[in-house]
Amino acid sequence: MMTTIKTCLLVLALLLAAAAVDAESLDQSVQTLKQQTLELNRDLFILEEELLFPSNTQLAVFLSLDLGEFFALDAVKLTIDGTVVTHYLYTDRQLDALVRGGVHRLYLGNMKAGEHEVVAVFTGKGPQGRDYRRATQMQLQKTQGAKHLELKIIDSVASQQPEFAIKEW
Amino acid sequence: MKRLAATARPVIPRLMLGLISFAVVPSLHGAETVQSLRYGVTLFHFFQQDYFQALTELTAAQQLDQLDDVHADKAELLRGGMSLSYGMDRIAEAIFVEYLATDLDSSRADAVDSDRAWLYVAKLAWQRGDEEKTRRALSRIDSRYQGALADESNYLRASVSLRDGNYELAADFGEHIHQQSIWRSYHNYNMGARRAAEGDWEVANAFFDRVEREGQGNTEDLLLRDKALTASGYASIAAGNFNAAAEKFSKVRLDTPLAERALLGSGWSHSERGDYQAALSAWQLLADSVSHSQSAVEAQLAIPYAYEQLGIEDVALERYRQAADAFDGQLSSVNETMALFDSGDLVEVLGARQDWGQEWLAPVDIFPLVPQMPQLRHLLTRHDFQIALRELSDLDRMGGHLSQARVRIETLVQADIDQQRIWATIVDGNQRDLLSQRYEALQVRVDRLRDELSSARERGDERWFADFDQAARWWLLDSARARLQGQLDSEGKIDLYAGLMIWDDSEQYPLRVWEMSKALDEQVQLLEITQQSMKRLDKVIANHQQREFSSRISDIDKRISSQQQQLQTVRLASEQNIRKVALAHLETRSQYLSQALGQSRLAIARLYDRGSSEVAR
Repeated sequence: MMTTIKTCLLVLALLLAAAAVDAESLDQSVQTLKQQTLELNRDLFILEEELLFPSNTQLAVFLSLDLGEFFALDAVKLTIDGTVVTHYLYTDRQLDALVRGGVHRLYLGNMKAGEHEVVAVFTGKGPQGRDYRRATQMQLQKTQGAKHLELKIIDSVASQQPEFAIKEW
Repeated sequence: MKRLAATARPVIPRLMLGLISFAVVPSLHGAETVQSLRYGVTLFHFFQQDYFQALTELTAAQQLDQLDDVHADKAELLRGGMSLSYGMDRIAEAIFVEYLATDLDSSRADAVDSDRAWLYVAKLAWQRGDEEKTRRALSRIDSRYQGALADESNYLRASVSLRDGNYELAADFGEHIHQQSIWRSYHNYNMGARRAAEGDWEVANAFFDRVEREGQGNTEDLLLRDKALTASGYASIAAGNFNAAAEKFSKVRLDTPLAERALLGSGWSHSERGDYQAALSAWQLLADSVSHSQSAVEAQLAIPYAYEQLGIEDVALERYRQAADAFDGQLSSVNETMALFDSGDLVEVLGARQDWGQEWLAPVDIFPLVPQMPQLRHLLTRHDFQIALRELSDLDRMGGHLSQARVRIETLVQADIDQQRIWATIVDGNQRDLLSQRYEALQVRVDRLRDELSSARERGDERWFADFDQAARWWLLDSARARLQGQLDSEGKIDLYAGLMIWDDSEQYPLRVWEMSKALDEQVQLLEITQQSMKRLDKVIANHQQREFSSRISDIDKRISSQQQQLQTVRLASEQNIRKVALAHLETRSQYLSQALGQSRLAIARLYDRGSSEVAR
């Protein structure tokens, strides 16, 4: 009986060794393909930006969160010159990513040169878990070149309240 | 004790976790002021474990040179870490090695320590079984390194020494691991497993006891504790210390993956002491579970054995029959599953799951309810099957990315056509020239007006500055003077009116000059703005003429087609690999079940024979 088991194990070991060699080259092929797909996606991403959102008209709006103890973000509504361009609801996972230092690209679009009004309305839970809704606004002078705005939600320890600001990059 | 030897291997999933919890991100406990938006967006995807988007964002930022100096330094290391998490360990290793080959400015406060990068290289080499490379990479880590991964580096050094059989050195490295670190527990477990594999039960148990004692009580610690207790139990059985073994097994939690092995061992420890009732309790618990694991199979054979030992042979016979039926049923199921893996549609065999996320190996049922479910569950406990399945799901996800890329490129083709049409009307349709002509005509009129104004001021021509109403009155007066020429009374009145109007013009002159100059200046400013707009337009036209999108679109389009073809080929190979791995495991399982079936039938025959001998012939 023991001899049979040993023979079976030997056969199995040889089988698995052969599989490992194949798996090695397959693993290499999969990794190469992944790398190629990533490179393709990168080039496509850059091309999209250049073609659809050229730098002379581009407006990108980002959102960041600093700590987030006084405000639990639910959603952001972004309005440009009176038109709602995006209304974004955040998942718990996305909020966690924001709290840990991630930055969300909220909006990417085109804008003519000149003066514009940007309004962001934040909704969520404020201190003591109360429903909270606040807006922040800025007059923007769009010149040539891409314009990047950062919507910042910051905890103000002094006032024990969240603060909302727009930073122009 | 064959199982113990197997557990002495380095804990690869733990290593992977260590690598995934990559630490070149700003802070895991609170955001810092954003310094680079692109880098921040990368982290946003990274923290959600969306490595594909994170790598796309990061590499695009690198390509476009949009990272500041600080993040540019860190980016390569982050790319290496994310590549690893995305299942590209070879590429990750190449990135780390290249990163380490560059001159690192260690004097910079924000510089990433090279020791950490060397550790990643060492871990990757260790995972791949390249011990020589592991040693070389570890030797590059400063022996005084006290960074965040110091414990991990000592753990790896100890593991390498353990593999070499140098227990003393391994123990020495182990002593450098902090008491509270999980790596210390892993080290102790590995030391124990290695000693157990060599039959040195006492020493092995001493190490396993340390794991039990020194754990910090978190989930990972508890799991390792269960593993150490199980291993210690079997080591105690081997040493003939059955009471200690029973005690160890009894401490293993019942809701963990180790519970089945522990229950089996617990039964054996009681059985060896002659306490078959206690043994039956443990084995019955295991046999009643829905599991088709090897432990459950062993328990089904062990139960009738215990009844035999208790002298209850009729129950033993019945339980052997039940076991034989169960093994027969399982064997049929295994054979059917083997036939499916051999020639069936793999999508149907595995269930058409297209939504495997990045964390699909989480301990949840990932397969749909299919008849072959028990065998699939068994396969999913095998590391190589997990890897093969992961590869297939990665390939399917890549197929999804490529299909999306195809849709996106089609959108770009249409956008490019639309833009070309618009440009044709602007550039080729002379719209720009027409605008230019209108601008020049306006410029001429403004220049003329400026000259006239200047000339009127030099002449002191107050009437020239008259506003619209005053000019109308002058026109009426001049017309009346022309019609009433020769009528003395009327001429006198007209002169009087003219005098009043001259007086008025004289009074209003400074104000009107100021207003006129102001209006002219405003006009000039408007023209300057228009001129700037014209320049911008010229620049945009020039830039547009420089940019050639169609060739880039065509290039990407070709790459998508080529990669889709490659994907098909690799996917086919991946499917074959899954079939091969699954069949190998199922074959082993089939042999094991056949053996168990044979044993149970042999036992039935033996019991029948024994019963027959009691009958008078």
